[in-house]
Amino acid sequence: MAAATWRLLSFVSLLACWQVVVIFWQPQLLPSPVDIAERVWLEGVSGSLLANLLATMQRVGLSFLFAMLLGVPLGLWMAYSRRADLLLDGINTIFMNIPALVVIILCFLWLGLNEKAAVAAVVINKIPVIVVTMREGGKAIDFKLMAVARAFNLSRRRTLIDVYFPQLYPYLLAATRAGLALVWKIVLVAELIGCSNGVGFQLGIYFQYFDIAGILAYTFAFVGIVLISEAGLIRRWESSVMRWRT
Amino acid sequence: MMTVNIANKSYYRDGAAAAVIQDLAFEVKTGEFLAIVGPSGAGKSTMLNLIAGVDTKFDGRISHSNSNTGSPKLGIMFQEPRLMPWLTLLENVCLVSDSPNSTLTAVRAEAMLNTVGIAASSAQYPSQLSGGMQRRVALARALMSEPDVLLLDEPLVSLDQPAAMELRQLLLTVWQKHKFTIVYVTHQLEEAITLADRILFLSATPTKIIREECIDLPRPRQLLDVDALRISLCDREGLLSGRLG
Repeated sequence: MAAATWRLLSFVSLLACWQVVVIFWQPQLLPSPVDIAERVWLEGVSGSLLANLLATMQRVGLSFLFAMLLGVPLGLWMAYSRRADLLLDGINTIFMNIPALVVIILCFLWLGLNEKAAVAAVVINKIPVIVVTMREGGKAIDFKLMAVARAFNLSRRRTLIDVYFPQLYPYLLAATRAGLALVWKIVLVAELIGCSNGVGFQLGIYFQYFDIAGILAYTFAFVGIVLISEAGLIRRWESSVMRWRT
Repeated sequence: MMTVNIANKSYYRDGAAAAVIQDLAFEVKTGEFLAIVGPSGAGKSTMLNLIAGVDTKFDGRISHSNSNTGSPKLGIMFQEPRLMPWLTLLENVCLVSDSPNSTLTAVRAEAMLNTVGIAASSAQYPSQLSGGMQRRVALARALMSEPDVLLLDEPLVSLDQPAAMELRQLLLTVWQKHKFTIVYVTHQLEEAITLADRILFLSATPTKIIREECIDLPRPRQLLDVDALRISLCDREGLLSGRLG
């Protein structure tokens, strides 16, 4: 059987077991997969699911982008300059260990309950992780290969595209993977605390109403999107840049 | 004519400078096949890196006085193949060309790969090849850049004898056809005698030239002649026999 079939099988059997459990025991606090699917449909038709998902996705996209734009150069700089490394390493470690919740609360307090604060909080949480990964990437650059580019007098553009970046791809991939996984989660917390839309905000409301079907409906819709982006975008990117390894 | 003048090349370790090369000066005529022989650890690779412009931190000057203006094109083959693992063989060879993406370049690169004896598909990645085959690709890459000066750093080390002989012959054929300048670093005197117009002998660090020898044997050179010359060279310079065997 193909790998995809096995993957699908594991999801389907989990859902089947769940459905059976609910039918037989009828627990108060656990809706069945069918109930949840129905709820997803209702929320979808009303348009609120899509609106909230989009708001969250936008925050995820923005904060991921800013975190990468700042974190990647910073990490590479620390890889090449010993002084930069000594200056920033300690600070980076501190920021990595400040709980995400603290950063989120402080950002909302300092910047106000707005979009800027939400995105800034996530970016601050995310940067240290990217910095650490990219510093490793920068240190792993093989100067013997860079010497080839130099000796053959390759243009700067060619050197970057064909010699330098390919050595960083594994690290960029790792940073993207770990980064997105982290950003999804932190964005929801930020939304729960200080936003007036988004998946996190909606989950907060359902929490107050004890609406478990609603919570799970949003969770699954959201997880579905994460899985699709992971499989569709990141894995495809990975297989295209890592083709030579097979 | 290429003039190499390295007054001083030092490495710094723990604040102290250790000279690797000192007062090393020589000239290479355009189209000359120069071999440089020296014991291992004599700074030969360091010297080649300076000539190649990979390392620019040294006192001295590498100058080229060519008939045609502009800096000469360099081709280089390192001790290791140093192919880009993420590029196919064809892409690796095309990389050093002026227009790596043109069809013409691809056709030339295919031909070059055939010339160096890569029969396998050029769409393979370097990791799928043996070390010897990777060296062939590295040679193809070096030749692909159409160099005015070709620098070779023990390029055939660790190849089996027949393959090394084949590639030596190939190198000579290409060189005789295009008459570029070659600087060939090796620690094997025999190899140097087989190939070169002139041999420079280097000392251990700090590297200096301790002897110069023109090889007047007509090409193609016979194994017996090469061996006789090697023995007489070693006899004349007792020092060398110990170091270079």
